[in-house]
Amino acid sequence: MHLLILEFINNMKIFLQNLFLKKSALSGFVFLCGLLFLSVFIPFISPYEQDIYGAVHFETAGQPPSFSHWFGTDTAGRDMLTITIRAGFYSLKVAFGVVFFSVLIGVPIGMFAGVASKRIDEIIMRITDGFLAFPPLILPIAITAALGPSLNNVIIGISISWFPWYVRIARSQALIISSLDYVSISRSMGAGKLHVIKTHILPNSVSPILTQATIDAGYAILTAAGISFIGLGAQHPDVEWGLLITQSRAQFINHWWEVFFPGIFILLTVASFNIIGDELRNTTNEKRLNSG
Amino acid sequence: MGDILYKIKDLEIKSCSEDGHLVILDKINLNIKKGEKLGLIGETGSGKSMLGSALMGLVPRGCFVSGGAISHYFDSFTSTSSLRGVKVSMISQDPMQSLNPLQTIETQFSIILMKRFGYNKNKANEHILKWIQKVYLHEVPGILDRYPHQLSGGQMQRVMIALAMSVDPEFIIADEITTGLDANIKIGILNLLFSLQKDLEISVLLISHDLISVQKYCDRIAVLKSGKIIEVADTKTIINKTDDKYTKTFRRLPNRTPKQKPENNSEPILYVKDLYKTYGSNKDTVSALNGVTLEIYKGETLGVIGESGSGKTTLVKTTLNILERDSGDMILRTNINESNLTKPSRKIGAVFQDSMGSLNPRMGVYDILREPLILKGVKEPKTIKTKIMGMLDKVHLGLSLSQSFPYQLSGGQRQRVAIARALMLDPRILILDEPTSALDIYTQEKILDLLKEIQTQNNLSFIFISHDLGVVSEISDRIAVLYKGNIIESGKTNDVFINPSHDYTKKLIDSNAWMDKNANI
Repeated sequence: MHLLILEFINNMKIFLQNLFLKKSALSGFVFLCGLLFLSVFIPFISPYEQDIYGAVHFETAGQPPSFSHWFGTDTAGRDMLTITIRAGFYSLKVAFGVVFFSVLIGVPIGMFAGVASKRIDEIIMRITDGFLAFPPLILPIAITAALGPSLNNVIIGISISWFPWYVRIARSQALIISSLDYVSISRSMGAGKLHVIKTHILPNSVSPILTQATIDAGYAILTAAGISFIGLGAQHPDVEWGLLITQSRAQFINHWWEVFFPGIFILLTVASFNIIGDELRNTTNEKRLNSG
Repeated sequence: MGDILYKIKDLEIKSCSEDGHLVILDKINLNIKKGEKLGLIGETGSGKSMLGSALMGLVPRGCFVSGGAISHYFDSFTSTSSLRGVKVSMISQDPMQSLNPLQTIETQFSIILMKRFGYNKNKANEHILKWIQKVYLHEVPGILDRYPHQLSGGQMQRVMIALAMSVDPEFIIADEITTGLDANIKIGILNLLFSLQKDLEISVLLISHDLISVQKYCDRIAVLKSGKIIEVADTKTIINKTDDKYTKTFRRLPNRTPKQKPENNSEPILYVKDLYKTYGSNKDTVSALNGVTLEIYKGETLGVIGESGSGKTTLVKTTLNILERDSGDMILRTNINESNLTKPSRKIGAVFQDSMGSLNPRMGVYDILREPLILKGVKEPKTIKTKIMGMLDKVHLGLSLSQSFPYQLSGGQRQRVAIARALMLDPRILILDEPTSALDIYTQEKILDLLKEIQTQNNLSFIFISHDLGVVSEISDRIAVLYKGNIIESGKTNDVFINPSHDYTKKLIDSNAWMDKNANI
């Protein structure tokens, strides 16, 4: 297992070294770190911390952006900056949660399929094909609806729909790496399938999986926002960007700021994840070139 | 500039590394003339391929031209990149990597010809057929509909030559195009390249670490060492008058005196009997091994010779039991017992040809050598450390290299690590699958010396698989010739070499004799 951790740390080290050379990736990284920090500590920073827990101030309702409320206020008079930033906490929770569970389920199944017999591989792959046959939003919506509306159920719904992608990536990595000479040598010395996965396949698969996970994190936020938009996601008083947009969509013409700022945050967060994903892919490719 | 095609002046190429900039090519000055056959030799890592890439304007990512310039004198072409695929072509070492695995040979040809000459499909097909004939591939059934993996190494390299020549270039860079090919295929490929070169009157830059081939075909030779050109002269001067020790190492031939050992009358340690293996199912079966029978005695080396596609790799994998055989027995006799192997045995170790591919790129040398011990169930860190350090010493690798990764080692060092790993489990038999064919002659000798030393120390038996008869004859006590999945001839090394009974063996020996003769010009 130490090889896997070393590989992860090594990837991160090279990624962070490269990060400071690439302005776009650095800005994405700083944005996400800043968002994570602020969204966790906003109750202690913001003068309007009560708004996070659903306070109502009719006297300040529907105010446009001003010095006292930089992002304006919503129809209940809550500070939009405070709740938009706090909503980031739940959106990031979705991003990390979805990626974590998808990888946790998908990677072991995929690697097992890659080293298993042809028959077992076929069965696993046809089942995953079944999951992938659904249009992207339908399965998460159906699962969330069946489990009941909540943010945790959204995470479960999206994870179940997306894990087959990780099965595919992990399987293809397992197939490629299994055919390499160093795995043949390892097998000739008596290595079993578990040893091959743990020692050779997993450490050599960290980079493509990590890259895919980073890009998927952004899409998870978009998907969760979509599910929240139709009322199946985060429930009051929890806030999530998709939910904020849903609540305010009727006031969009007169109170544009209620939709605009959560929308901008979704855009910036997804873009940041994508830019970081691209940079990770470049890092991996460079490393592969150096080692080739 | 008259007959000059390229003028390289003070060219300097550096790569970005963690420790700053590393000089890859240092003040290179070289002219390439029209119609010239220029050889570029140098050891692994001397910068040969980088110079070839720079001529194509394809300096890899992470490297940059830090000084000097390459000027070309082709008509009406300004940038180096606009010359690619029009006036300049390249044939690289590994055709499997150069050809698109998802496209048939016909598709790959058509794309290039349509782009280069604007041909329609019919005209392109006409042109393709012409080139397939020129490289003698027209006799291969359905060649145009085949994918690269359905061709042998030699056939793929012929396709690459045809592709490179079909765009009507004035200059061809041939980068280690025969590395890893059998002696007779090697000659065929080089003869083909240079007969086409003669017909079309084009210039060729032949990059190689094999001085024997270069001196046969090239007019002039440039010797590259650690990124610097240390010698440029016409071939005769280089061969006859040079005092440079480095250049001499490329001319040195391995000691080809066959090894002589007392006859061994004991029971064989491994007896492989009637080994059969076929690939595919139903109608599309390909027979890889057709009843191979081999025996190997304690302390001896059995050399197995065979060309690409003869079943060498299948024989290795089935003997290691990592590939299930269809039928046959594999009796391993040790001091304690005798067993018919059906699972991998720790008594049989292996070293493969591609030292880079046989080491996990994410593992350091220490971890690579630790793996066999972990598999054996050794858990005590102190024991592991002592064994690893002892083994590094045994294969003459510095202890400081224990934390290095494979890409930080030279080809020879990597092969030493592979040998050390194979020895960690204290095997009785080592299968050596072309362990020296990807190395330059100097490194080859060092590795062979190491193998001989280890064999004497541990009383090991070797199955040495190679297409290089010189190397096989130097190390083997007995020889077996593998041809189309069958052992067609076997016997003592001297007997097989002096009195080959099969035509194929005669052909192999003739090809090698040809190479040797040319080496002694």
